[in-house]
Amino acid sequence: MPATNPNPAPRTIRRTLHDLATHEISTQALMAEILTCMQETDDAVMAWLDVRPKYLMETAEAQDRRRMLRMQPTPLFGIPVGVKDIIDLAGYQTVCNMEAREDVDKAERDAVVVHALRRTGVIYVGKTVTQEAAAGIFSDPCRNPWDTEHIPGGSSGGSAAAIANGTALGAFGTDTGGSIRIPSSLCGVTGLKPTYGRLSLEGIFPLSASLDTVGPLANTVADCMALYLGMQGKGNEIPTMWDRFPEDEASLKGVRIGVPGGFFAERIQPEVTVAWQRAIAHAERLGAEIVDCVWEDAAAARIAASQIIRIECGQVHRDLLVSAPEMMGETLRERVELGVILPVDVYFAAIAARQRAKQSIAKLYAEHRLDAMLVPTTPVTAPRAGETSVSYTDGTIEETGAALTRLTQPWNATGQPVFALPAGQDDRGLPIGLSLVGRPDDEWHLADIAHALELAIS
Amino acid sequence: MTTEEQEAAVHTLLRALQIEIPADRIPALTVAYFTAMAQSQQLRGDVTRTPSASAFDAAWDSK
Repeated sequence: MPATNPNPAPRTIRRTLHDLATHEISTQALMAEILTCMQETDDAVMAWLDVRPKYLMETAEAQDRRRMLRMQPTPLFGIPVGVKDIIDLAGYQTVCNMEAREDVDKAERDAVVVHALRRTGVIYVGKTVTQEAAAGIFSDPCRNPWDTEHIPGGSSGGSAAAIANGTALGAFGTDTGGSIRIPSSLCGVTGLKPTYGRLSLEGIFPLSASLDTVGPLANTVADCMALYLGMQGKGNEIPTMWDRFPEDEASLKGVRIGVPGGFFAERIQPEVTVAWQRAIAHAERLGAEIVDCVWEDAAAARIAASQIIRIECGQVHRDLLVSAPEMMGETLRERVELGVILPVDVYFAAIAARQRAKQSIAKLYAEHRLDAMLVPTTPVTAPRAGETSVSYTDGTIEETGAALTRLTQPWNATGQPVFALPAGQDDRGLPIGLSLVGRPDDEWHLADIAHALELAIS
Repeated sequence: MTTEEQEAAVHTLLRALQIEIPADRIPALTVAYFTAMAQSQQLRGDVTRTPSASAFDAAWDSK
């Protein structure tokens, strides 16, 4: 198995901040470690674009000088972070893996979230590979660090692969149909899709404006929340945040976790089901009340989200389809061709269905007094690159993109926050992912639950 | 509708939007189009369940 993952016990942001503060490691040594790892592995993983080693080492040296002078460090001082290449990073192109944008001007300013996080002292390592226009789940040419014959998922595939590979401690992703959670699941890292509308999308190339969400990927729930605070411009709250997430104890007493059957339990790889059941048992052991439930509108929510994405994405790329279709990859082109010819009443039907889904999931949470739901992130582990379909033990076959988005898209329709957590590996050593779905604007409570479960699972 | 009629309908739509695509792409696009239309019909199945924004907010608030 051509695996490149050099980091079975990955560096967390929390631990690294401690090591930097106590001079156990310098920013230069950390950056050198990351660049060496990148040099050794990125020919196979291909997670990165436009990395500038000289600039990075100079920045790291400047940070070390500031630290030596005991200048007040900012809360994420020296933490290496990647930026998905549909998000503007000042001085870098935002190519979006699109041939038509290969000569696009460098961004003059950061996206709002990138600018906000920059103020916490992070070092932007470079841009990470995305699926063309963020419209899909393969993220070519990036590969999965756990086995480079497999895909990393997408569209934030480069971000997840970079973290899994130890070449970033955090990264930006975007999620419209699962693009933070799917690669998190397939690469064994943690991702947060915040509530729709919580973070600014200014300076981010759109896929589907009424569903697009930006959020962090990292190695732990606490790390994700530190980045999330920084992205909101609340970096000053990071230093006091860590105590919220104790590293040695966890309790879910008083927490009610819904476990939906039906839609979320059908056509699942057996090892994923086992990991799901194991996580449910952990939650119960930690004091959570497990509530069996069924969300009848899950399938409709999924269809609504996928119809909305098709049509909104079609509008974004319509002009390119007319003027230079040869510059579009096959996946994007197929999506846009369909999106532009679907009649407007399909769009309105999907918008109405989305609203019904929001209402029905709110009722379900209220009726069962749920704090969160626990579901598999993806029904299968990372498919092999080039595999166009996945098969299940019941003999059914599903197109790869449809399979990987099946369990994520309903939560884009409802707009709820979701934590994607690693939950072990399958027989082939490929990561399994589970999702905790919270109530809107309830990221902190969701993070508490996710952190407890993360401790128990690990 | 026969397959040929479906493909002709998709072709007409493309022409109306002044989008030209090679003929060999029409069959796959036709399948995708009619699948999406059928999915849309599914979503329309229960149009009497008109959602109300206030009910939605109230439901989330009740925890």
